[in-house]
Amino acid sequence: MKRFEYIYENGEHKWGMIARDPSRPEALIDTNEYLVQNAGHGLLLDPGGMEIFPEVFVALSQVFDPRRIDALFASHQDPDIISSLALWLEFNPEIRCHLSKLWTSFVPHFGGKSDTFIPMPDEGSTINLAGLTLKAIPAHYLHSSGNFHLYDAEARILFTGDVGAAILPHDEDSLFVQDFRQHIRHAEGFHRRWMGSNAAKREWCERVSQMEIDMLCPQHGSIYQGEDVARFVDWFDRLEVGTGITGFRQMV
Amino acid sequence: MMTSIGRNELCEQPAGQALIQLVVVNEFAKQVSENAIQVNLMAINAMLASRQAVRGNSGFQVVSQELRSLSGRLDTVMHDLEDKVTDSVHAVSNFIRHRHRLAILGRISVSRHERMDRLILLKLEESHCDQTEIDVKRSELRLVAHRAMRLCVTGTALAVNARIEALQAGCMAGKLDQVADRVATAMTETRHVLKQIEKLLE
Repeated sequence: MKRFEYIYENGEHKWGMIARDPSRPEALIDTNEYLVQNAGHGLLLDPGGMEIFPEVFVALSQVFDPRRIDALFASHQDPDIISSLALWLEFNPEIRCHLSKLWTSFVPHFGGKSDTFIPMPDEGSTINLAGLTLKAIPAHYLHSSGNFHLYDAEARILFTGDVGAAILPHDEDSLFVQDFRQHIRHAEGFHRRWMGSNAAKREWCERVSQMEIDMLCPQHGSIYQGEDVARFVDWFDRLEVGTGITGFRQMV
Repeated sequence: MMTSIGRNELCEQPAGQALIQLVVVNEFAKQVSENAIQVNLMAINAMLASRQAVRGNSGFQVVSQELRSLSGRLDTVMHDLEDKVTDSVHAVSNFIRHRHRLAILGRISVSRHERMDRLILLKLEESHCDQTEIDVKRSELRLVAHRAMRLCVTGTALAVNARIEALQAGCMAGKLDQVADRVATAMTETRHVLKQIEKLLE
């Protein structure tokens, strides 16, 4: 059973995290889903795969009425991000999905029709959640070729999809990073292999280092907060990515 | 032939509606739990107040203790209801997933493959099993709702007893009568919510 925890609350403006399911099948990678709430409306970020739909749905229902979810935001097209789309649409056919324009004809293989999707142009866009403006920040090639993060300037939270992700052992899976140096060991292999472009990474680090961020929230692993945000950006900037293949070649 | 069976079964069953219904049941359950907490607090206050009554109103104290225990049981039943809602969400999700797969297989217009026909039949059976599972979970939900309703009937009776006991509480009579009145109102509201749950699950 996944659990829901609020990570930011300011009146009706809230961020909730749905995470950590010890009972999930071993074959499935653990994922974090985030719910942004404002004035009773909800935007669900990277709603997750079809297999975990019931867990996400139930955890969310305990604190928020899922009928109030207006839209989904998919950072990219992977199955652990958005393959639950058909089930969400079954629940509410009016739900819309914000997604890179690159994927609007691929993701319907999971479900949805053309009017389900709100395509986001490469340069990014803004999403209005009952008066709250959220910014879709381009993060192409990190790791998907059409990839977006979501920034909430008011809450100073950046949702980063797979950037910052870590595959954590069970005894180190706290919701927030406790010890950066210890934690980042679990993120290194993932970033080397899954992030394909140093140029894209450089550009992203440049952009993000100019933003005011209190929490950097990835789709796998723990949240970076406070000084760990800058530590992560600095670490990522110095990391040589797209090099995971070296290890693969050695294995072959 | 087989595909036509598949097609007939692909009727538009409102599985999404079933999920919406579960959300509503869950929202009602939250209300009942909230009421149970309120009744618990009222019962504690009533126990304290009855101690201040002339010579201590032992009758009211007993009724308050019973109300406190009842609100605890009601809260437990509501947790049980939440668990059953979780099970039902799983059952409905499985049903939707399997029905989608069946719908896709059912689009194969002319099947010449025995293996494919067998697969469709298998998926059809799977879909029926899912439906049965949903029905089972639904009746379990109904049973839990019934249990909660029975507790509420007892709660209403206890509220009446509390009112009678309040009459003998001397200078505290007014205060205890107020408590009894609030408990009665909370129980009426809770019964009303539970009736709505029962109606949804009919």
